[in-house]
Amino acid sequence: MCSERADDTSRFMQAIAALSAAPEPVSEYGRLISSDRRNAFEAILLEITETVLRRELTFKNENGEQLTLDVAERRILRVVDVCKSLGSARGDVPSQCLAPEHSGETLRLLQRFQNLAQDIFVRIRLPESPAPAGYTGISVRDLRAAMEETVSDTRVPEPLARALEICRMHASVAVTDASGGIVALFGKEDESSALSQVSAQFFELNQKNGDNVVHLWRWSSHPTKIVILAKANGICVSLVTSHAHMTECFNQLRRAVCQCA
Amino acid sequence: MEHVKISEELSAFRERVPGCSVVLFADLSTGMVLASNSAEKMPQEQLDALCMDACETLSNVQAGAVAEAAFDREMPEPDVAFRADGRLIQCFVRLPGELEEALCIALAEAVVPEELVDEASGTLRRILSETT
Repeated sequence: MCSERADDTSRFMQAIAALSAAPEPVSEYGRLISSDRRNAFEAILLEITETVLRRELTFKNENGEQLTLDVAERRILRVVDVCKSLGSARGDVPSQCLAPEHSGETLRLLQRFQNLAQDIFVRIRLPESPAPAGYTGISVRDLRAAMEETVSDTRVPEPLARALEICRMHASVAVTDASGGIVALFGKEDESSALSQVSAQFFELNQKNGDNVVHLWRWSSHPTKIVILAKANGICVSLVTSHAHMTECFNQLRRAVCQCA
Repeated sequence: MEHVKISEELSAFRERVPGCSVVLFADLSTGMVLASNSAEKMPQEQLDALCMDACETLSNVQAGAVAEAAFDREMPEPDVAFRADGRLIQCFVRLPGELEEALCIALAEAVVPEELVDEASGTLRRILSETT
């Protein structure tokens, strides 16, 4: 009985999908979803979240580089196609149907694509091939969970990872590598992803500060928001916290930086 | 008379803040150290370097970019900045709306930033009320 219902639902969704026209693109590349690298990753995730009926989402940047995903029910089922510049990152993601255990590789592929250029467009069309049988796919929640796991990634020094476990409870946090690639985002997405880009830039332009350093700024006009940037062994942390947690976040990061030095 | 008062304030400040190795009152618009108090006699170059660090940290163009990203709009220069590495903590404090004068502090010990800023703001307020 349950199986019959599931079959009916599946057929019903296929029928709707077939009847629904894909949205018309608004430019040569498709619809512009982000013109700022700081928001690009979140914009891609939003497109996935908003895709319920099965579609192929082709993300393209102003250089013509593209990434095509097979998405249904807010989940990435397959990576259909990638541009050459993502070749090495593509190699880690299986070509067949994706499952939550592939979240880490898929996350890195999306992040690499996001870092290629400023403008990102999306073009949506009906898939030509049938949906993979018995698919599970990767949800945006799986991708976010993979992001959190990367804090214990070997790239993040252990003292810094410990400090982050505490800071993330009180702050919006972005963790990036030296090239500005996002390692992890926590808390309010708009704040953390906006900071992720400027932090790498800040440390690049202020190299005399050395590799292990913490900065804190406070504005009297905005006393509720404190900005802290830290760098340890090539990993940049940027966070926005409240006045109440300024001391804890600053001292946690300072301790971590001292241990990494 | 003014200078004596400023020196007294700086000396009292350093006594109240454990681990404070040097505190100086500076004019950031000219990059000049106006008065200082340190645990050990420090060469003028080191005092000037701390003053320059204050200028760079509070008026840093990139700090503006950081603020813009955090607040999603153009922001004035910050009133308070900290910079810490493995051996030293620097703290730079201005009063709201007073962009020129700042208190620059160097410490070797861990601090409670909030308490340090309150202490520095009070000292700076007293100094400025004496000098204006």
